[in-house]
Amino acid sequence: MILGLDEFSTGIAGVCLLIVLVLLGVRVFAAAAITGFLGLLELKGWHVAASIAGQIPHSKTVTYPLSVLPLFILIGFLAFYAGLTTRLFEAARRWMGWVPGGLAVATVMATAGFAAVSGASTATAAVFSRVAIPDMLKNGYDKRLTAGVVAAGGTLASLIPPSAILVIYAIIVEQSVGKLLLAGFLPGLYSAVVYVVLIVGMCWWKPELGSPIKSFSWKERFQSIPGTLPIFLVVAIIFSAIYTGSATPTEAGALGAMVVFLFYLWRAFRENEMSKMSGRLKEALIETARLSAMIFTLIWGVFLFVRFLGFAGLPAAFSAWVVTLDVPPIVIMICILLAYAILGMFMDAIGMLILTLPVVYPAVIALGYDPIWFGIIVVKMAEICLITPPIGLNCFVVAGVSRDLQDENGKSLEIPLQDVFRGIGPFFVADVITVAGLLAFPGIITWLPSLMD
Amino acid sequence: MDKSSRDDDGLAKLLKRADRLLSPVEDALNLLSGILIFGLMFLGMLQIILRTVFRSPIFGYIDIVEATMIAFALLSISQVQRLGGHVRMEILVGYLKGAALWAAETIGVAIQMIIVAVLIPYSYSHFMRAWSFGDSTIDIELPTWPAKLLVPVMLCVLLIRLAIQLLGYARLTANPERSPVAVPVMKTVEQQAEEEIKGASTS
Repeated sequence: MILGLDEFSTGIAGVCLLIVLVLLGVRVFAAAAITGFLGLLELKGWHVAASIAGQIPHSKTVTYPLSVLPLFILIGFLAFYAGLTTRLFEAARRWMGWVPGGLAVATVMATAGFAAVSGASTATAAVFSRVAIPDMLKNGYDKRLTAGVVAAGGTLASLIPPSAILVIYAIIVEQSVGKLLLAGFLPGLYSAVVYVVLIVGMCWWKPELGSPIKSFSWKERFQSIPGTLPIFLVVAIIFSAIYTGSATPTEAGALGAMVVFLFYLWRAFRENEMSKMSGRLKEALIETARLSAMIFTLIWGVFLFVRFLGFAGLPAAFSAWVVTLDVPPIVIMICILLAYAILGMFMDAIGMLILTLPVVYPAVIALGYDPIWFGIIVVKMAEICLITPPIGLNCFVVAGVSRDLQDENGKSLEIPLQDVFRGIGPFFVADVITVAGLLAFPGIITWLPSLMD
Repeated sequence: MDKSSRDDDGLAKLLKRADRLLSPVEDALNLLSGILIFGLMFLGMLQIILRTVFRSPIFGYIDIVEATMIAFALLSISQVQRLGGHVRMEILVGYLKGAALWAAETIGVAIQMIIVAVLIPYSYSHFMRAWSFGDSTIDIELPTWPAKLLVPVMLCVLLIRLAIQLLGYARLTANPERSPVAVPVMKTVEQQAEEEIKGASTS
């Protein structure tokens, strides 16, 4: 002991130091690792601290369940380069174009479909801005609705499996990766349905916002399906593997990535783009490697801090304190969710979760909430932050893409940022309704994973 | 002072040269990590085929996957640092300008250097224990020392990158008029969005 503090005080001092370092802009993995190391030094002395610190980067990384992460990330990048987005949007517009606000509804359906092969919200918003905005504006859709639907549609990627953030949650809180992935499916669809109802309602009430487009024949509709088959295959593979337990999530991820890769290969061969393909494949691989390294580094850095917190007994003390509060658990839960909403406005969702869960999670469980349910709720909150000011990265992406877009007469299709933020308003309300629904009807989340028991 | 004269001081030249030497190594390590992930995809496929069709799964599949995982985790760590990709919160530093910003960045990198420098010898001891005791995995008795050795090696590469960035930020703190050399510059939300858009346009 250097300062001579008791365990609890050392824990509190450690949390304060971590907050200061993170606020000062120190990279989260380093801030957590150095705080954890100093805390262990104070509580257990140099020998133990050094020994734990030396082991954690290896021991916390080399765990089989985490091996699914790079594969899920790879599926997303490959699907993106394979051009699945345009095919999905075309299929969705042929099937859903006839309803009020049909193109906006098609955009939601297409982003939900793409979410089944990608876990990256902002990238999804960027790709669909390019695909859907010109078509919607050409058909006279309201600019704000157009921008709002693309920015909000992107957020579906984190809930619908494969989702890297849900895998990370499962690892941190030591829950089944398979259950978390299954649990995200219905809430993801439910979010999409709430968006669709909102769009249809708005466009039915004010038809000038977005009218139905021409109806397609059943033949035309079915013709659009083959181009989207890889997505259905990936969904089927991941679900059947997890649900039946016939393959581990890593194996399912490998098979899913292979399906998308083969589709990409076939498409590149058919369209004579083999020369372009090798460059894009390399790009997909190096992007996947970078994102994986970023996530793994964060995980081992924070685990050093978590080990210190465990020795300090802080998570246990925090949960013991939370359960003695004389307020209903739902009020505490709403406070926790609001805190996440605020934090998420300033921090990357994965970093926010890894950093806060070690303390917050035991308290949530002590209050009697289901661990799987909480994972989905908290990821949904993190996603909402992607469409709320001041950061709202998805909104910036939509505004940015629209700046480069032109119609066939060379007229700019730019949607100013303030219009994007205004357009996102109804979708933000829809998200609040979605979260309220998930709070009121937890079965939406827990039903599918409960079937695995 | 024009731009060219703001980044041609002696230290800038040294940092540029060091950056030019280290960057290709980092890029190669990053690519190797990507290739290993691609390999993991094929290995997973092979495992499924062998297990379901031939009822003979790859012996020690989990051991092999776990042994390569350290590579995905660490091979790109220094390149991500170079690109400013490790997660952080910019709520306060985002408001800083000039010398105050560069001083905050210098302190941030110095803190990173301290923890990385502490981790290197102790992760090396972890490797040495595995080496001297002949530690191996349970199923196929794969030696664990190569994976454990990769930790201090990659942390050394990261430490070199951090040293370059520390000097780079210190140089800017001493004279904020200079142009940044060999350091990632903080991006605004607009610039981050711009990068996503650039990525999306390649599809």
